[in-house]
Amino acid sequence: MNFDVIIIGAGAAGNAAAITLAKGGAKVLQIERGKFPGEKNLMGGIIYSSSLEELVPDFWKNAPIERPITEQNYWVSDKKTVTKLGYSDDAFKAKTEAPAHAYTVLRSEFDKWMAGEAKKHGAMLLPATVVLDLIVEEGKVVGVVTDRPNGEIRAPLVISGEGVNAFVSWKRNFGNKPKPDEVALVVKEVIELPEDVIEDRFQISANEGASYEIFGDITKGCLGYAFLYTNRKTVSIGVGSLVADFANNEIASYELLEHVKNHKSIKPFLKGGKTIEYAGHLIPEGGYKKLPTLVADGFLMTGDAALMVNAVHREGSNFAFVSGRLAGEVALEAIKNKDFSSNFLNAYRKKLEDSFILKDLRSYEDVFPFFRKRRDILNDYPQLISYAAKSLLTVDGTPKGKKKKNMVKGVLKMKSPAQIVKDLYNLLKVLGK
Amino acid sequence: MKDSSDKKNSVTETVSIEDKLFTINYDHNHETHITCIGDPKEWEVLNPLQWTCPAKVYTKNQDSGNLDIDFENCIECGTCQILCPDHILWVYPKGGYGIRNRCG
Ligand SMILES: Cc1cc2nc3c(=O)[nH]c(=O)nc-3n(C[C@H](O)[C@H](O)[C@H](O)COP(=O)(O)OP(=O)(O)OC[C@H]3O[C@@H](n4cnc5c(N)ncnc54)[C@H](O)[C@@H]3O)c2cc1C
Ligand code: SF4
Repeated sequence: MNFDVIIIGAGAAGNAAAITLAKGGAKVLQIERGKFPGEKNLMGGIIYSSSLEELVPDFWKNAPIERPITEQNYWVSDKKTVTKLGYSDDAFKAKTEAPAHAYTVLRSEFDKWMAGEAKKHGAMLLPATVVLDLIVEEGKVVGVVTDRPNGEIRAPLVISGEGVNAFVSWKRNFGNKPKPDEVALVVKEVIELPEDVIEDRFQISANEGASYEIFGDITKGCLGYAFLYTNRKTVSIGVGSLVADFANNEIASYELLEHVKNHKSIKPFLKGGKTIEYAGHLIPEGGYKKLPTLVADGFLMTGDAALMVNAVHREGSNFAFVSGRLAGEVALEAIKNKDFSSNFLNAYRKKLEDSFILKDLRSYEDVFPFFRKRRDILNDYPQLISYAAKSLLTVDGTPKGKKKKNMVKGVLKMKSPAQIVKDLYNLLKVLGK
Repeated sequence: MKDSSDKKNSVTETVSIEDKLFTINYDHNHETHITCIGDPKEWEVLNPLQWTCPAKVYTKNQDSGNLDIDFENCIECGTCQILCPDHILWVYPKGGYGIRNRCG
């Protein structure tokens, strides 16, 4: 059988590319190492409707989605205190004939469904197969080598949707293995609770859901954060940090997860729940500065394999959906023109530049290096926020005017005004790029 | 649950890693996908693997002083080959084998 294009992986990016290509009439082969798409994959996980709607219109009517996210919470934890900020907006809710802004999903079911959408349009899936290498002839990628007997399969174009461990691409120097401080390890548990208990505890109705992201002391000095998301009959709880931080701080991720689960503000949410699955996965955080080649003769890179993640806004699936779709669109043109040269395929890079993906990655390129260098900010400022909240909110007979003055004085004792202004300036500079 | 490694930080652990791993669905073909390609006694390099691997695959053998690799517990995250690229050769298990997430 002849294929126009081979896609490595049936994850978020690979499925987006496969749907786009199959819809456009291309002969697509998707190769996935799991027995089913999704069984190797993991995320928090929140998907955003806008990018999925472009691939599968009305996806929310059939896709295995858990709950719409209608309320987002950000907590800053100090050793003993927690400062909480919550945001809920009716605009996040589903309307008649329109999806909610974002939904929680469980990847095992979700990826199976999404790969099924590609299949509906005629894509072929070869599961339980690992791609080991690319076939390169005269500098052009012309197929893949798999772990099947006589495992070579040829096509004039290969799209990598390999995810974070992009061994096939790395082998051919399309991108490099990340360093321990360029990648985060996230561990997660899915905890089962009755639906009505979830709704009671999180104060949500049947068609609502909540997300919590917790920063500060909760990660014991590791650069990262904890999260808690509501699914329909389960909640997802996890914590992540740079691999380098777990290694250097001598902290085991699974122990840190227990610390998170036992945190006094989180424990009541989980009480009586049963852990039905533990899992771990990496997130690439090299960002714009480390972007790999993206395009070569007969080859395109998408999603996590191409480091397309904005970790600050937990947007990875979003970038994977969009980069997969754009790669698919360019591939369709290449098939029509029978031109698979890097010159022609460079249209993909151009499309990424015009989309929010490269714009966002570029505007965040200094954020991670900034926090990596200035870990003190993550330790000192949660303390400072906690102190400020405590001084203002404690009722002890001190007049409010004096309280404010005391608070300011106390805060300034912890950090000099010059330092606060400087930190704020630097932070705004990297964030406001 | 006491950790066999001699790391400094122990955060309270109420559900042990063994119990966590018990919740995972695996399909094993009993062939290892992890090889130590460096000196299995070079503990200055290998030590962090003992607590950084989220499935506690790596431990120091108290008798031989070598690295023990409990590959059947691996949850396929890839952390080890990023942390110790010159010592650990980690590849994907054969197609269809290894972890099978029911939730993900
Ligand atoms: C714990 C966690 C929480 C997250 N939370 C969020 C969130 O809330 N929102 C969000 O938007 N993003 C989140 N992300 C990021 C998001 O999951 C990723 O960015 C996204 O999955 C990337 O999609 P991908 O298709 O590039 O890679 P993946 O989804 O990892 O897919 C890669 C696929 O390729 C297959 N594969 C790999 N190599 C081979 C090979 N050699 N041969 C055959 N098959 C192969 C894999 O089995 C897999 O199916 C989270 C990530 C993690 C780890
Ligand atoms: S891949 Fe992850 S779980 Fe498997 S051995 Fe390496 S670090 Fe441990």
